[in-house]
This record gives sequence, structure tokens and C-alpha cells, in this order.
Amino acid sequence: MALSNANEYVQGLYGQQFPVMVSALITPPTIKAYDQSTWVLDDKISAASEYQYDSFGYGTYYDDVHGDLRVTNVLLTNGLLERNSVVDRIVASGTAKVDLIGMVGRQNPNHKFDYNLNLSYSKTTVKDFTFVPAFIQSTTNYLPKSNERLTQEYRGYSASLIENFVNYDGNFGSHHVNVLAGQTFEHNMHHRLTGEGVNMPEPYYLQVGNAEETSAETYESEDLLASYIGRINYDFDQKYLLSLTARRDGSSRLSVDRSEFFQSVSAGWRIERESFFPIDPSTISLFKLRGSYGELGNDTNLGPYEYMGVMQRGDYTYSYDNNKVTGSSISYYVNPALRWEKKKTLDIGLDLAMFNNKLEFAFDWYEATSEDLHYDVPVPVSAGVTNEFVKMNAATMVNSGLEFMLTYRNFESPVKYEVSANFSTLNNEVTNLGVSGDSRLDGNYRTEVGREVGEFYGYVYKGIFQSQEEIDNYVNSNGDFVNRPDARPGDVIYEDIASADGTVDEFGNPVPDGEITDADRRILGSGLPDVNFGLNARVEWNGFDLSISTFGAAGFQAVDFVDVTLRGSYRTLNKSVDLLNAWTPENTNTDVPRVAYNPPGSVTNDLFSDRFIQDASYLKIANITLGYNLPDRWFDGYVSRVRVYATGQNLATISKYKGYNVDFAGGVFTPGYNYASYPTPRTVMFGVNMSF
Amino acid sequence: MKNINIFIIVLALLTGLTACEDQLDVVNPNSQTTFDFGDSESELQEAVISCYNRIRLEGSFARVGYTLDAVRGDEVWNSSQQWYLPYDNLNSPGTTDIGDLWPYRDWYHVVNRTNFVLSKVDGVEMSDDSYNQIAGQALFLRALAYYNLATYYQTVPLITDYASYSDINTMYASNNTQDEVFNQIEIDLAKAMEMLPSRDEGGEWAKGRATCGAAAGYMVRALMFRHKFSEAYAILKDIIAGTYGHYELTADYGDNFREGPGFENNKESLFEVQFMDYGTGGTDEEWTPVNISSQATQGHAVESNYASQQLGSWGDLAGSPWLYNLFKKENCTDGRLDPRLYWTLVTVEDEYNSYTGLKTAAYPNGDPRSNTVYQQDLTVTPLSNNAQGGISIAKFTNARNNIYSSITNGLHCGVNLRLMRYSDVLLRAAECENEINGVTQTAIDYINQVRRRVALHDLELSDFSSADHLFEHIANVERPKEFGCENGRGIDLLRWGFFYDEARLNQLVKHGYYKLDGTASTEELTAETATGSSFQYYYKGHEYFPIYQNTLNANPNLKGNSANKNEDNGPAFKEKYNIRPVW
Repeated sequence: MALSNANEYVQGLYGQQFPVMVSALITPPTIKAYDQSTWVLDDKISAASEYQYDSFGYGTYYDDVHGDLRVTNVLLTNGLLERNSVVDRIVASGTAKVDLIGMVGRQNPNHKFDYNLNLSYSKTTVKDFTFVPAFIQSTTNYLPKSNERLTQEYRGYSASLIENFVNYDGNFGSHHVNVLAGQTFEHNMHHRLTGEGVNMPEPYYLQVGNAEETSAETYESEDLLASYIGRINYDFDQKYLLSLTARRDGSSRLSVDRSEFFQSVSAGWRIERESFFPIDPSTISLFKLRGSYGELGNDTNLGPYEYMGVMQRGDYTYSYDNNKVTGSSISYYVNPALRWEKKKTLDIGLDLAMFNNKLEFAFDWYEATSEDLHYDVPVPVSAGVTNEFVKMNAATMVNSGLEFMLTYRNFESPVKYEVSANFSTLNNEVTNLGVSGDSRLDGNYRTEVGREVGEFYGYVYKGIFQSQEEIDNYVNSNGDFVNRPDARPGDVIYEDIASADGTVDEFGNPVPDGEITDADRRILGSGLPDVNFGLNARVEWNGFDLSISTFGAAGFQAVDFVDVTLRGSYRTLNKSVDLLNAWTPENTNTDVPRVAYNPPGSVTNDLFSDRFIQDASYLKIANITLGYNLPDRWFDGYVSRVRVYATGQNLATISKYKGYNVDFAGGVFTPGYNYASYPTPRTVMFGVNMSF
Repeated sequence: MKNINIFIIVLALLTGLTACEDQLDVVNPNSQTTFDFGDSESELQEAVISCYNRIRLEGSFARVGYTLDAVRGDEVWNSSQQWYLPYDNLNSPGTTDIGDLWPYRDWYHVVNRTNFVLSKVDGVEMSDDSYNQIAGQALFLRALAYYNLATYYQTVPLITDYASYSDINTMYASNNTQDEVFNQIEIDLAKAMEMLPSRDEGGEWAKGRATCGAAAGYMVRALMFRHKFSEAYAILKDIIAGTYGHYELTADYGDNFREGPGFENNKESLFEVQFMDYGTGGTDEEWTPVNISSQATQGHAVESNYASQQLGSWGDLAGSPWLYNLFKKENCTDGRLDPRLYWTLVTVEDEYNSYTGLKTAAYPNGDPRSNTVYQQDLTVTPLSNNAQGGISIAKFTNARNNIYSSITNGLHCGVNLRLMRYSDVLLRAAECENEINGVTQTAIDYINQVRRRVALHDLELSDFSSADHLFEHIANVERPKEFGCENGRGIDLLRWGFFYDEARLNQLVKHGYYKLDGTASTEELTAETATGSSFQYYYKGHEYFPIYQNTLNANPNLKGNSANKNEDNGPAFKEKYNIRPVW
């Protein structure tokens, strides 16, 4: 079984584990992938004598040759780790519809009154299996015999859903009314049983009971959602449209205002249907103005019971004179008051269709305010609790922008074609954050109130010191010496911007202090695209068809973890070829700083600065398909609709970005950080379709 | 008729499903809620155990929390040249979690748990003895936590009121001054000294727990950190007089570093962290914060850092060549090697082969020394680190115990870490006497007690010409040899102000010389022969460890300490305290 593309934590496994892609790229190429001599390493590592097999024929590193790398050969973890999940799911659903007017024998084409019942139930069982045999790659990278752990877990999930609705639809002349009232109820249950065996005898028979020590654990949880919904749609002659919705949602994951009302309203006006509209329908067939405002609740970022504090009774052990005792403590800080998150969306738009729908245009302006977000407020370390974050209704974010869509099609000529383009802008602003409204920093990504989420935050790169003399005479904007006691020629120059103690001048501007400290970091760029766009086209001619779809984004930057690691100036992990051009006294005309085994001090060349930020604007050719439909007459009716085609996916990306995957999904607070997203494969397919 | 039936069913469904709202009240079937915990004596006893629990985790004493102070000192250097490097070189940028975060994190867990006990103990019916034991242990452990916090991180938030944990706003605590924290430590320890039974009174109960002797010992440490020598001296005299229980030196220095009954919790030990030998506690390695377990191994990983990588450890820390040569400079009355060398560092010495079983000055009943380490007969000193070399450390490992044939890395070593020994009481008494009265026979006698145990010649009053001279001897000869590679040397350097005096700093640079030549060379190093020194990278303010940058980011009220700000603590120190010049 393969490792997932996320940091792997295997209990008892020593040595750093990266996602597969990262490991493969940052492990030095001087380490062999496979090496038969590593089955037994007893003569090289004294601790290896405790193991039956050491590195199982996978290449390893030796401290005295490669340095103490503390990374595991990814092929080894990949080859030895057995992990799989078997999922079984049964879904049952039923619906009933009752015509309440028809039931009493009074059908009327203008009035419909229905009752709808939807029931669904699903049951999922998952069997998980994990095992890693004992191995040793080096004295710092191993899984000891006593820690080899076989885990078998059975997880069960059930989800029940009941929906009851009555729906009335009535026509009164030009008035049309549709009224819906109903109720939904959702009930989810989870149960799991975990059996764990530690220290397996060899040869391995992978059943928990064979382990020296066994343990079992069970856990269960349930959550419920109950909603009441009412909606009225009204239109007059399809000219004036109005819709009102109110719902009351209740969730067991919340503790305060567990049930709340959410309303929304929308209205539309089809101006082209007005008698005063001066333009002929053959020119403008749709001219619709729309507006809407709505509120919705969300609880999907919460798990069950998050507002309850629970005890870990007897989990905290100690010993008095080698006699074991067990103790208890309150070790989690919980927020007992959790309410609904609310999303409020305002949208104003225009729909236009012209020349018998040959030309279509849509425009929207929107503003979506997400407030009372279930935000992870940091719990200060000095609180002395296990959780680093606690969920609170404590953040507000506003996304606004414009969306355009333009399509032109012509199916009336021998060459049929359709071209459509879309373009949207996004403006993100965090308007409230956390308890104190202070900024947050996630690694090198800063989020502060009044700005966009997760901007790059680091030092300002000012070039490379060319000589000791330059280091000794380097001054900041005030003309004061900047102290860089550890710097050598070839090291990066950082700008001294502010004082560590926060000193500002009379205008509130920071004053540099002659030291490079955390205070010298600045916002360096945005990880959210300003614009997203797409262009799609389709042409048909004489049985041939060609379609192209592209998308892209512009106005943002990205940082790639692998790129940053490979360009690091120190130690012995794999390096980018760019480092061949590193600064040396003989090679001074370069922007790659000098390399060294260890950084000389705390201000290193690898501090996060703008030199690691890349322009990530891109255009991706997502799909090109070329097909030909063969005429049916060629086949004497035995087969029909024969189509041969070639299609290519992810064919090309036009971008300056160095890395496998420019349209990665970053984190909420680190949108521009590509930690290790798995590259999208390029696929080319040829095919034939036929019907018999 | 059929239609009526459907109608009834629909009505029944509609009404039957309106009562769902009540079902939103769910009960957590998995665990007891925190609401009613801590209202009985037995629950408070459980809570006290959880306070002790956290002193034996990675950030407190199971690994880095113990070794960081040693590597900060001049007797230990970072032979792996990674992991501990920012704390050996004293230049962490504040983004290394092991030293900037872990001790901070674990000690604040102890603070939280002790605060909980102290908030509850007044409201629960119990006997006076129970009350004194529960509250006294919590006070001692809170003081121990703040002592470690203030000596690693200088200016930390002082949180003593459990009510402040109930609101996230008050949890965003701001810094207190180091003096404010030490004031609280003294208040807590003064109470604990009164409340707790002595090791004699406590009997079996006291084994492995905090006693009034432990509280008195740490009170002395706290007082001497702020140069309150007279107050400290009075308590030291009381400890020596047996006021806080009977303490004496063990006949064999090595008994303080050995595993098992008879050695652990012995008559020399004022306080020690309890660890269990692998397999006796459980099998889960409790690497925090991910896997807290009721089946924790309850071992420490100091051995994994201290022992030789060539013999199977992680090979991170080595004894400095300076320390080795300090031992070699003075032999026992019979001309043999100081036994403390044997118990402190793992070097192969030809002499050891001839000592084994002999009646020597240090071991009149038979000398245990040999070149057998982890049950292997060695002929060459093993490497601390396979790549860089260095001399591995014997203390608090099984190297000299010889009860195992190999090292199993991880939280496995069961040797209790003796945090304070009676020899520290004696050497501190000598230091206080010297500070108050100058060189006196009384001071010399205290030192000689420690020297006689290892069969060194008595010092004479006439050997010392001034208080500066005797101080130099205590600071750079007696203490490093008696406590070499133990947690505490870094704190000594702080309280003596050695980072704030150029001559003292130069002396530290010399002590810190190491060589990265891949050998376990014992050669005394000079500026010319050394690859480098741990102290050549020292950056002002970094004698304390920075508070982790993420911790500062998460709490706007918390400010960085001198290490975060690269701020020289020298002027403030010199205003309050005297720094003895190099003699």
C-alpha cells in the first residue's frame, strides 16, 4: 500500500517522514534506492544487532558518509508500511409523493398540492489495517521491535435522513405562486473498535492476538441536525419574480442558540417582457435584472461534543520508587459556547441574451460576508493545556468581486462554433480575527484585520555580501551600522527595517535598530489570485469537432516547499542545480548565496525572504479534444454513431512557476503555500465509440 | 377509504417528527466531563500524580528539558552538530521548537495542574496531614516549574490563580519580570518547607516524592540565583544539621547514577525524577504531545542523547575535552584516577583494567572500575557521534551500570535523574561561606567532605589567597567535577554572571573547545588545535532561550525575552550583583 501524500506519523517510527513526493525529491541522490547489502547492517550500526532484518534491501545513508540525515528512504517506508482500508457501504432510500388534491378527487390544472416524503439511510463499515515491521536505517532512524504495532480497526457510520415537504403550486391568471413548507431531520452515528498489538513475533502472522501486548479501544459519537423550511415563490407574468425563504436550523454540535432562523430574499425583473421595452425580441430575447440577499448557517467545521470538556481519567502516570501510579487532570481547554457560523451573501446581476441567443452575457457583483466563523483561536502555551487551538465564533471575512461570462455561438453556418469566456475578480478582506483582533502568523503567512488572508511575510532580500569589508560597513536607511556578526562574504543581506523593541518615530514609522530580528519582517506578497479566467471554444465541421478548454489565474505568488528545501544553503539534503552557481570568492556575480554545512548563526541564508517567492500567474490548457464522427452509411447499419477521438488533459501550463503543480490548493491561512501538492498527470487518450 | 388511510399516515408522520428538537441534546458516552472533578481527596491525589507526570516528559526532564541546561553549560557540547546546536552555540533564532517551546510547554502544564490542585484543596474535607501533603507537593512542583521556566526563559508569565484559566482573554497572560517569578518561587517553597514531611518522617511515602528537604534544597538554589547568600546559608546549615531530614553522601559516588532500589532515592538525594526501567511501566513511548498514554514506558531518553552513537545511541551530546582534562589534573590519594571521571565520561583508560576488584583509596571494599561498557570489553574509547567524534557521557545512562548489553533508544532508560544531591548542599555551603566571610576553614571543610568521598587530598586554608581564588576553585574545579554533565551548570553560569564579563566569556570559550575530527580525542584543546568552541557563537541575550516565535505570535500580550531581542542582560545584572573576576 502506498503512503498518502501527507506527513506520515507512525507511532514509534523515528526519523522524519515527508510526503512521498517530497521525500523522493529531497533525499540526496547519492543514497541508493535499493541496496542488497542493507539487509544486515550489524557491522555498520551496533544497534542493528537487535534486528533480524535491518533495511530490507533498501538503500540507506551512513552518518560518516552522508551526514546524519534523519530522513527515511521513502521506498523503504513505502515498501514496509502495510496500510489499507476496506470500505463497504449500503444505501437505502425511498420517496413518496402524494397528490393531496387528487387524493380527494378534485384535480385542477391550476392548483397542485403535493406531499413529499424522502427517507434515506446509509451504513458504512470500514476495516483499517496498519503494520510496519521493525527496521533500522541508522542510529537515529528506525522502528524498534518493541514498537512495531499492528492496528486493526473497524469503523461504522450510519446516516439517516428524513425529509417531509408539502408543496402548493397555484396559478391565478398571470399570478403564479409556489409555496413550500417542510422539515428535515438528519441523524449520524459513528462507532469504532480498535485492536492494537505491540511487538510482533517473527515470522509475522498479522493478527492482533499474536502480539506480545494487546489492547482494545472503542469510541462512539452521534450528531443531529433538525431543520424547518418555508419558501414562497411568486411571479407575475414571469416578469416580476420574488422569492422568500425562511429556515430554522438546529444542530447538536452547538451549545448556544442551537436553533436559529435564516432568511433570504431574491427578486428579478425581466425588462424585455415589458410593453415599453423598445427592442425587438429577435435582437434582445432576455434582459433580466436580479438581486438577492440571503443568510445561511454552517456547522461543518465542528465535530461532535466540541463544547464539552472531558477527563482523561487515569491517563497520567508516574512512579514512586518504581511503583507505578496513575493520575488525572483537566488537560483540554474547551469553549462551552459555540453558535452557528453565518454566511450573508448579497448579489446583483444582469442576464442578457441577444440575436436569438447567439450572444449571451451575464454579469454579477457579489459580496459574501462570513461571520462568527468557527475559528481556531490559539490557546496560549502558558495555559498548560494539550490543545493549541480552541474553536470559537471569532472571525469575519468578506469576499467580493465581479463575475463576467460571455458566450458567442453560431450553429447556423457549415462551421458550427461556440466560444465562451469567463472572468472573475476576487477581493478578500479579513474584518475580524480572534479574540483580540490581532494578526496571526502561520509559518511565513500573515493574516491581519483589514487585509487579505495569509499574505507572505518575511525578510527583505537586498543581495549578497561580496566581501568582509562590505559586511563591516553595511548600514541601514538611517546610516547606522547593521550588526551581522555571523555573516561571511557570500551570505544574504537583509534589510534592517524596524526595532526589536518596537521603537517608532514621531509619525509612527518603524525605526531600524541595527540588528536583523523578527521585527524586520514585512508583507511580501499575496497568495490569492486577483483574477481567475477561462476560455473555452468548440468548433464542428463536416463530422469533425474540436474543443479546447483553458483556465488560469493571475495576480498572485506562491512558495513551493520542495523548491525552498532544495535551494536551502545548508546541510546535506538534496540540492537544486541552481546551487552549482552559488557564491564563492571566484563566482561573485550570482544571486545564489554561499553554501555551508551549518549556518553560522541565527541569521541564515535560509530565512524566509522574497527570494523564495515565485510569480504564480498561469494559464493552463486543461483539455483539447479532436473527434470525428464517421457517417452511419459507411457501416450498412450494423453499427451507428461511430466516433473516433483523441483527447489530451493537462497538456500545457504557461507559467514562470517552478514546481509541479501551480493550481495547488493552499491552506485557508496559507493560500500561497504549496507544501507538497501531488502533481496533476498529463493524460492523452485515443478512443473509438460505437453503438450497435 | 384508501385515500383516508394515506391522509392519516401523512398526519401521523408530520406530527411525529416535530419533537426532534429535544433530540439535539446529546450525551457524550465516551468520557467523564470535567465539571465535577477534583472535589474529593482521592481525586486530588490523582491530580497530584498528574503534576508529577508532567515533570517526566520530554520538555521537562525526560530529554531536552534536562539536557538543554547541560549543553548550555561548558561541560557538554553538541557532537551531532544538529538538533541541540542552537542551544550549544547559544544563538537560537526563536523558531526551534525543542528548546524554544518544549520546556516552556511542559512546565506550564505542571503550572496548570498544580494551580488546579491548589484551587481545590481548601474546599475539600481532609485531615491536616493530607492537606499538607497535597498542597505541599503542589507548591513544590509549581516552584520547580517556575524555577525551570525562569532560568530557561527569563521573563515568563506568572500564573497562580486557577480562575484565570476559565476565560480565553485572561489566558492571554503577559510577562512578569524574573524577580517577580523568583519572589513567587520563594513564597511557594517557604510554605512547602513547612508543610511537607521530611524523608525520615515520610518513610516509604516520601520515596520518590517531594519532601521538605527537597523544598529546602530548591529554596537555596532560588535564593543563590539572586545572590541572597545569607538567607541561603542559614537554610543550608539547617539541612546539614538534619532539620529537613537526614542526608549524607553515599560512600560510592557512582551510586547516584545507578538504577534500582538501594541506589535510587538514596540518602544523598534531596529530589529526583522517577523513571522506570523499560518494560516495568508500559510500552507506549510518551512523546509529547501526541501520545499521552496510561501505558507509558516511563523511561527517559537522556541516555539516547548522552551515550555513544558507536554503541547505538543517537549520539547528540558529548563531554568537553576541558572537563576530561580537569579530572586528569588531580588524582586520588593513592595516585589513581578520580572515580568521578569513570562515572561521568566513557573513556577507555588502561588503568581501569588494573583497578578491577582491587582495594583502592576511593573504593576500600573493592574497585568496580573496568573497561566494560554495556557488557562489552572496550579497548578504544567509543565515539560520541560517528561523524564528528567526541567523548560520550556516562551519567544517567546504563554505560557503567552494565545491566544491559546494548542501548535501546527512546524513552527507555530507567535511571532516576537526581536533581539535587547532598554534595550540592555542601558545595553551596562552601560558596555561601566564602561569599559572606571569605576564605575560611569552614568553607574548606565543606569542600573536603565532598573530596574525601572520592579520596582526593584535603584542601588547605593556605591554598587560597582570596575569596576570588576560592570561588574560582569552586566554580571551575569542584562543581564541574562533582556535577559534570548534570542539569544545573547552565544555571550556575547565569547566576555567576559569566556571560556578562569579557574575561569570563573568554574562559567559557576555552572550556567549550571541541574538535570535529571524527575521533574521541581527549587531548586538551587550544584556539589553534580546536575546530571551534560552543561559546564563540554566543549572541548577547541568548544565555536564556528565546520564547518560541509561534508562542509569541499567538499571544499579543506576551513579549520576547532577551534572546528574542538580542538584548544584553549584562548592565542590569551588574547593577544588582557582583561578578567575580577570573582568578
